Amino acid sequence: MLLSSLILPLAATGSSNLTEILVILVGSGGAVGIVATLLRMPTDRSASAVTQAQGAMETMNMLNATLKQALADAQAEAKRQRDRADFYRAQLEDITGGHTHRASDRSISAAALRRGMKLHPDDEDGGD
Amino acid sequence: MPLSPIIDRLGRTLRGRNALLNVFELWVGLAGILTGIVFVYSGLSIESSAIDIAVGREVALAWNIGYFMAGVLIWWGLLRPSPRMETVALWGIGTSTAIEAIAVGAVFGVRGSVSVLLLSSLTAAAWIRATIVLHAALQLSLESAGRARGAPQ
Repeated sequence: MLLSSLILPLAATGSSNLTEILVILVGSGGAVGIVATLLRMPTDRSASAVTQAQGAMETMNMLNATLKQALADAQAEAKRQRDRADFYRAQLEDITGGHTHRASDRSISAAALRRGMKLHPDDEDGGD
Repeated sequence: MPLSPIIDRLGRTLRGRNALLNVFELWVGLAGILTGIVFVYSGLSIESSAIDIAVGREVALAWNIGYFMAGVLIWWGLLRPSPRMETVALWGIGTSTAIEAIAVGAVFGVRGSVSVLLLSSLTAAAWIRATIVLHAALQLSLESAGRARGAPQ
């Protein structure tokens, strides 16, 4: 409506004025589009920063998952070793009448063999 | 800047999902660049002559510079890649072709109607493409921000 109200009277008065007005209108439209683009669109640098932040976030999440898995593995291994130590400690307590001593896993399993103790299932495949 | 990264980017631009649109954009951008070069060498071209007659020499000069810059920015925006510059260039190219259509229409009247129609179509295509790229970039930006905020800790 605004455009037609501007253009139609000009069209009646002369083509050169109309041409100039149209050029100004189109040029203004293009300028508005350019300015709106520059204002609304993220700059390449900020877009790149967002991409880098996302990459860092994904790496952090991956590391987090890896650490959680490693922690779970370590906890499972610790539990297995505790069970093994409890297994031999219980037998040693039976043999020694309750007297236990600190010893390495290897020496415990060796002593267990010498005293005819049962081996823990983890030590059965070639354990000493 | 070494040439091989540019060739690599050009290859990716021409092989991507919007390959045909990108080729068309590059072609339109090349037209702007060539028009600018022709104007620098000869001081005249069919396009700028029509604007010169219809509006004036100063506007024709500004139009040539704008058209050339828009052509360069299209190539820059597509090959860098920079959607921001690409969109700005598309607005510029659309404006240039619209002014050219008005000038041709004013000078040649009905005899230039086919050129006017073609140039107007080019304007519409450039501005529609600019709007689509703008919205896509904004959407991508919003999604990226949402993903960054909602990422698991």
